Parts: sequence; structure tokens; C-alpha cells
Amino acid sequence: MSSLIEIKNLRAGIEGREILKGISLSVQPGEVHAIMGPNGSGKSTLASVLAGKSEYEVLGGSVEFLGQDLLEMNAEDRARAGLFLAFQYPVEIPGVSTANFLKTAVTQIRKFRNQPALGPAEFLALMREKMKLVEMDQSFLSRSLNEGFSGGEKKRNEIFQMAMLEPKLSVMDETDSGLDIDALKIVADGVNTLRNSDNAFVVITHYQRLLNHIVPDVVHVLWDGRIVKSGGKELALELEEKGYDWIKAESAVEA
Amino acid sequence: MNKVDLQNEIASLYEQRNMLVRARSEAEAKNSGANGNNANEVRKNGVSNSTVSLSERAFAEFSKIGVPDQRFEEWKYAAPKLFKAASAQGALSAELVIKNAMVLTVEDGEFIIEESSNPNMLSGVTVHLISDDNFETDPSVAIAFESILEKKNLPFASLQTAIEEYTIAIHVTGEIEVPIHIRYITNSLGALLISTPTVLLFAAPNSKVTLVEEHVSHQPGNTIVTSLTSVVAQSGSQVNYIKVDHGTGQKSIAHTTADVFSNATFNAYTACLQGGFVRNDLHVRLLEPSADVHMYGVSVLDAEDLADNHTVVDHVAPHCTSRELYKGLYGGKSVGVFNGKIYVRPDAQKTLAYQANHTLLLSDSAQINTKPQLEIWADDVKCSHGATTGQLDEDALFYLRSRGIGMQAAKQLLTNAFVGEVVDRLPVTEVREFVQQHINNTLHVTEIEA
Repeated sequence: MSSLIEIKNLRAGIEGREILKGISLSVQPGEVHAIMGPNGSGKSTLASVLAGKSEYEVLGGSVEFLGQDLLEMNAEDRARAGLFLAFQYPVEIPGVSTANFLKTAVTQIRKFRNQPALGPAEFLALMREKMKLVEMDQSFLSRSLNEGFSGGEKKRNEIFQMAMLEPKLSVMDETDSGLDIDALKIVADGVNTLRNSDNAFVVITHYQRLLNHIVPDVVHVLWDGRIVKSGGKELALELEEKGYDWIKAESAVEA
Repeated sequence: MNKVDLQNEIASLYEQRNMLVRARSEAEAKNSGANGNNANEVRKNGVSNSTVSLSERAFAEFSKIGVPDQRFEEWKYAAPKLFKAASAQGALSAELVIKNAMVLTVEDGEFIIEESSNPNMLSGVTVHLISDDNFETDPSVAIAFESILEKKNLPFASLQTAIEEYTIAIHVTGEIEVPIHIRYITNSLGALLISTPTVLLFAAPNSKVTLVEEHVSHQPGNTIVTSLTSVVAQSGSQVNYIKVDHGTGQKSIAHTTADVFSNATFNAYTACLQGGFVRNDLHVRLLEPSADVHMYGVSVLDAEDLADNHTVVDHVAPHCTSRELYKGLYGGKSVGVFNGKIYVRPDAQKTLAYQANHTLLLSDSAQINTKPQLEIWADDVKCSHGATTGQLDEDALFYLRSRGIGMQAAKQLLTNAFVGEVVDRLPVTEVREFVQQHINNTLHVTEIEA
């Protein structure tokens, strides 16, 4: 089976500082990969580079997404092709309602994918159905996007958008940060419902607790811009118990 | 055109007007000579020997400043553009059609009865065309002009008072739901200066009315068009005042005053849509307790357009509220000006006055000059002002694009959200849609630099 995404020796940085120093990662359809690592190891940079944030400069390597050169695509085309980034800090956009925003996004994505446009009633029904997934109230639809939302509401809104856009690969950037245990469970249940044999998830997190709910197939440890260790879900438990120091020591010895 | 040409033109227009009035007055005197009718005290024309006419006083006031130049602070940014030829072709502008509205059409300064609605079409509204040597037929007109003349530093308002030949007086006594739509159309190719009839809107106690003033030119040109509108909102009345400038080829200079009395509401909405050159002076006085004023502005400019909004909110009475929000979208090499004065007089305790001016610059060459001026003499008041200038938020753009929304659509969403705060409040659906359509067109054709 061909990979959904194939990252080879990816190097990237910002303002002349190299942060990702050669990352290789291959994700197959149906898989959940967790990327863990201490602060500053490059986790969020990886998410931003994949999503196409222009401040980051790619210094080397390649990323193939569904057979296409991802690094050549702009941010909107990446999303249209099926890449989704759940933001660590979803942006508040006053004056743009959640419904209007999603209508624009879904319309453009469907057009790109040569799917017929949805009528207003169909679209509303779809939104209602997907909101249930993360127990969001319909009143959010008419509110400005993320404006005045609590931390938990913002993260649920990210998963709601994920459900609406039906991506092939979702990169979740510390979706668990700022969530209480109830919200964490709602978000995780939502993701689990969306999992199928065609799509895949890259879950970036500091802590093991999210991985109790979204159980990964593979866990990677990112440190100093490189994946220094990969293993099964038990690696996450080991990290939770022992912290990252032993990994740092190990990789220092190897280096 | 240069300043000397314009000054000569003004002198000649003033002379023409005086000759006309003199001739008319002499004819009148012959006709009514036997009656010895000489009730000219409130006349404007100046034929009365005993009083200095309003026209003469207005011209004297104008002459203090004359055609303003850059050295005159209030015209610092607009003056240099006044004599610049319009760069844009006179693009045919879309037509603003308001369903069921009472339409009054003024073309090149002349009231066109054939293109206007029946002035009696609405019960609760009367419209009179008053030649300016007949003010005695309507005492409120003379009072209104006295009030206009009290205002200083408004050379073009004074000039218009001096040279205009008649006035449109609108009295509203009922609650009028359909808008009154005044269209000022400029077609003249050669004229240096056109002075439109002054519009006086009197809203009686507890009446309700919406006045839409549309300034449009269909032809390329550089004609300076002055207009003057005065609103009196009596106690408990509600007046919506909308001014829309669109099309190029004229230089529109407008002065609007409003006197707002107890429990009355005055809502002003000013839309400058690629007018080439638009200068608005909007002066509002809150004269009795519990007057409530909202002023919203939106300017959408491109090319070498200029929109200069000067506002004055004068809190004379206590317990009044004023809120002011002006937003600008400036592309190309356009220039925006916002000058917002708020006066809170010693008696105006418990005043609430807010002012905000926010701008999005859509190109590196566009500029905004914004200046709040608050003068507060009362001690128990809440006043605030704020101004921001910026580009579209990069993080917001990226967020939208990361959801598959293309760059252009993302910019439109954010830009519409920005101006929506003003546009969504426009109380006449057709005007709101017209402005929105114009914004969409502008954003579509404007190359926005990220």
C-alpha cells in the first residue's frame, strides 16, 4: 500500500534558524501516529511546515502527499487535497461567522474535488450532524469564528471543522493543551468516530493522557529537530513514567 | 483648473446671482409697488437697504478663508487634491434604486421635477422648493440658515449659502417608513463649480424619517460640487441620514449639520465609494438632554481617490450619548482622512461619547491621516477614542487558507468582516446591498498586496 504521506529528511527553520534537522516519517492510511517530545523539539514547527505556513522556510528534504509534492503547494491547495491542521491556538476572527466560514471552505473544497455544490438545506443538515460529534451547540454557527470561545470550545470547533472537511490526513497540534478531562474525552471520541481505513492522524502532544483515548499505532519521539526514537503505544507510557531525559541521554550517546 | 480660475468663477457666480436676484426683486417691486411691500428683513437676497443680507454675510464669511489651501489646517490633506485632475475615467456607476422611495432628483445643481416623485406622495411629509428671496414663507428656513452661518471655518458651506438660488425644505410630521432619496447627479463636463440646492430637513416631535443623499457622477470631469444639508431632529424624533458618494468625475464637498433635541435619535451613515474626491463635514449638536447620536462611516477607495471625513460632535446638553465609528479600506494610492472633534460643553454632564476610526490599508501606497480632537469642559463624563491602522491579519488569513479557502476569498471574508461592522448597520436594504456590492467589486478588481 502506498503511503498517505512520505516525509524524507525534511529540514526547515524560521528566521535563519534551523529547527527541523532531518525528519523522515511515513504514514499509511488507517494509522494514527503520535509525535511526542519536549518543548522546543520542533513539534509545532513540523505541523506548521506541513500546513504551509509561509514564515517557515524549507531548507531541504521532500514531502510527498498522496503522490504530490506537498512543498510545492500553497496552503489552500494542501487543504483541498486533504490535509488538515488542527491548530494549537485556533485564530479568533471577528465578523466572520462559523457557518459562513465553513460554507466558503466546503464550497471551495468540493469544487476542487469535483463534487457537486451543496444546497443550503443540505449544508445546514450536514453541519448539524457533524456538530453532534463534538457536542457543539448550534448557536456557535452564527457566532464569529472562535471569538470569545473558551479553550475547550475552540478545540471542539477544530474537530467539528475536521469532520466537515473530511481530510485524508489530520495533523493535530497539541489539541489536548488547555482541555479539561471532559472536553478531552469529547474531542477524542470525535476523532475516533472519524477514524477509518482511508484516513490517518498525526497527533502531536506533550502528554500521554490524550493517547489513552486516541490510541496510536506508532509513537515517535522528536528531539532537537529529529525523530530520535519510534515505538508502539507503550513508548508513550514509558515517556510518561520516565520523562524525556533518558531519551536525550540515549540520543546524545548515539550522536 | 487652478485656484485663480476657481476664485474668478466663484466671484462671477456670486455676481450673477446678485444680478438675478436684483432683477427679480425689481420686477417684484414694480408689481407690488402699490402695496409698498418691503418685508425683506428675513430675506437673503440683499436688496433690502436696512439689513445686510444672509447672502452677503455668507460671502463675507467665505472670503475670510476663500478657496482653502494646504496651510488651512482643516483642509491640509484635501486641498492639494482639489485641483488635481481626476485620473480615473468616469466609470459608469451602478444605479442605486430604492423601492417605493420618494425620489428627488437634482442634476447639475437644478431640481428636475420630471425625474422626481410627487412631493405629496407621502402623508406626513411636505416638500417645498423655496427660492431664496422667499424665506419669509417658512420661518424655520431662516433660522436654519442663521444656524449654519454660526459655524466658522467651513468655506464651502458659506459659499453655497451665498450663491445658491433655492432651497429644498422637507417637513416631516409623521412616522415615515419609506426613505426619501435625493439624487445629486453631475453630468456637466465643463463646469468648474456647481452648487446644489440646500436641503433642510425638519423632523417634527416624535416623527420618524430616513433621508438618503446619493451623490453620483456619470461623466469624467473635475467639477467641484458643493452641497449643504441641515437636519433638525425635534424631541422624540428619529432621523436616519445616509450619504452615499459613488462614481468618479466630480469633487464632492458636502456639509451636513444636525441639531438634535431631547430624546431624539440621529443616526448618520456615510459611505464614500470611490468618489474620486469626497470631502464631508458632518456637524452634530446635542442640544437637549437624552439626545442620542450614532455616526457610522465607511470609505472604500482605490486609485488616487480621496475621502476626507471631518466630523464634529458637540455635546451641549447633559445626559446625551454619541457613538462614532468610521472604517476605511484604502487601496491603490488613495488617501483617507479622518478628523473627529468632540466637544463636551460645561453643562453637558453625564455625557457618553465614543469615537473610533479603523483602517485597513490594502496597498503600500495608500495612506490614512487620522486625528481625534476631544475638548472636554465637563467633569462627569465618559469619553473615549481610538484609531487603528493595519493590514489584514496574517494569522487569520493562514487559518482560513488552511481550511481550503483561496487567498482571494480569504481576503474578501476578512475585509467584509472588517467593514461589516458599519455596512451591516445601514438601515435601508437597497443601500446596504449597493454598498456591499461595491465593496465586493472593488475587492475583486483591486490587487491586494498581502
